[in-house]
Amino acid sequence: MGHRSLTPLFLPRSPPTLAVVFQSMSRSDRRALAWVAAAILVITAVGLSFGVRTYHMLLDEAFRERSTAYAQAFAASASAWVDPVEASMLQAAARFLLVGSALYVEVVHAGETVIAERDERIVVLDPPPTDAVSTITVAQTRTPGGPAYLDIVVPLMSWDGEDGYVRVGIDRTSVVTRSRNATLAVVGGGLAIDAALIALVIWILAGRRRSARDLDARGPADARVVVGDLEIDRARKEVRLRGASVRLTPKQYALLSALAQEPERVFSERELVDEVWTDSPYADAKDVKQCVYLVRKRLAAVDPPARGLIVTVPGFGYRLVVRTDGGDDPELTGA
Amino acid sequence: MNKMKETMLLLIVIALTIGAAAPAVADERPVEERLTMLAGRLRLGLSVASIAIYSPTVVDLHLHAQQLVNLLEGIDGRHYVRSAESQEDGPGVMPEMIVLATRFADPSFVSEFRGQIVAAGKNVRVFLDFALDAALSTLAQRRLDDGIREMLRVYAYLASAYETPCAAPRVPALWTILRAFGVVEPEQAEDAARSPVG
Repeated sequence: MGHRSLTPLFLPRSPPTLAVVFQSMSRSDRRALAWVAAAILVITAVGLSFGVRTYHMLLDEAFRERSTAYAQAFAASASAWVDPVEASMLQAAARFLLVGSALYVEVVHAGETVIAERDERIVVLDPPPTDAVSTITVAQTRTPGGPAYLDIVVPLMSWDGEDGYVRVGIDRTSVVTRSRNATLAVVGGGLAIDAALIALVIWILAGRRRSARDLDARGPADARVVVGDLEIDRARKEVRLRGASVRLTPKQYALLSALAQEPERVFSERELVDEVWTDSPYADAKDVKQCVYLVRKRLAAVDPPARGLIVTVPGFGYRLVVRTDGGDDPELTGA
Repeated sequence: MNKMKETMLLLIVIALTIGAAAPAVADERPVEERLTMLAGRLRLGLSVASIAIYSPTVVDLHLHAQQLVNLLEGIDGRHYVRSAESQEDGPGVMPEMIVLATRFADPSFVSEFRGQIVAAGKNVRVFLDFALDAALSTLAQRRLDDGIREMLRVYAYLASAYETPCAAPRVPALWTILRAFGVVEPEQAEDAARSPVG
């Protein structure tokens, strides 16, 4: 008993899964699929890499700009309140900042530190710049074991004209987390789209083969294939041998029609399975062998020597030989 | 037994009477002191609002908005959230303004500008109400840009409540554009030195 005998015959068949469709694909189609899949994956990898990097860069740049503006706005407050009379207001504003992303706030005026508020997460703070600050500087840094942050130094334009600066550290954790989450989402989405595309390609390739076969089976109205004495009328689904009708089942017709596509070419059993048993993922060489036997029998019923029209090529498959009426083909007697 | 109940009831009534009378005792600070403190807290609020407009993240914006709500409503406010408090949280600007407005309206308050003061007090309260609404609306925004729009409203209302430019940073607007084009007079330009883009 073969494998097929174990298949329940009367149970409704579910639609073939992608794996089954893949199994039923020819080798050339699988090769094409492999190339397409590789191309899709490469394009995705390059696209994602570029996209993620660009997104990360834009996000980082936007965060840097906003953080700098944030520090500048505080510096504007500081310049108004650096007067000792207003020191408590400056202190209050600095503490309001520290509740959020600001890790530390320093205000240095006329060489003296007016405000030095620091978040407890910052263990070690680099020494402040000793030179007079004339331009805004932004540096990306990280304390050992602490969060990554932007160190922003803004010159202080105080009411009394004395030099000074405001230094604010802005925690970058949020932007790093956001960037990482976006990367994971985009990579996940990209891979999902790839999987969908590859599945689509599998269906397209399988569908193309089905369409080709359907078209072939349907054929144009005047499609007639003549191979020697054998004539196949695809419009009428008729086979004639030396003018006499040969009665074939649809599978037998499909097998003969497939072989008649390229007379004299050897078709492997796998190819014939792919061509003829499109609706059955479980068909195998035994089905081909049995079908060939039955076609030969039907041909022989019309013309006994025609049994040899389908030649078995051991180890390779089957081919349809061209025999014309009255011609001598030694193979016909030896098949 | 009944006597014991009566005694307990009496004690409760006494305790409630003392409790109700306590805030009235705390309200005895001079008006000038209260006004100075109110102005300082309003300036602080203006400063926070002007910085919050540049918040690098929506989380920061929400924190600043909550700080402003706390600042406006005070520790007894409906929307006060302890997590956003700073060490500077004290009595709210709005309750303080209510107390002051009540005093202005009291017949015992005598001033040649009484009418103007009472009207101004009402205006301040309305502007503070608007600012609170805008701050609460900022908290409801999920996008940074939308939140900043609301925070600009907070700033505008607080600035209106203060009425005149004060020692707090200004949010760049038309004045900045005028200065950039040199349309303003040199002496006027000095007045704009506190603009963040100065």
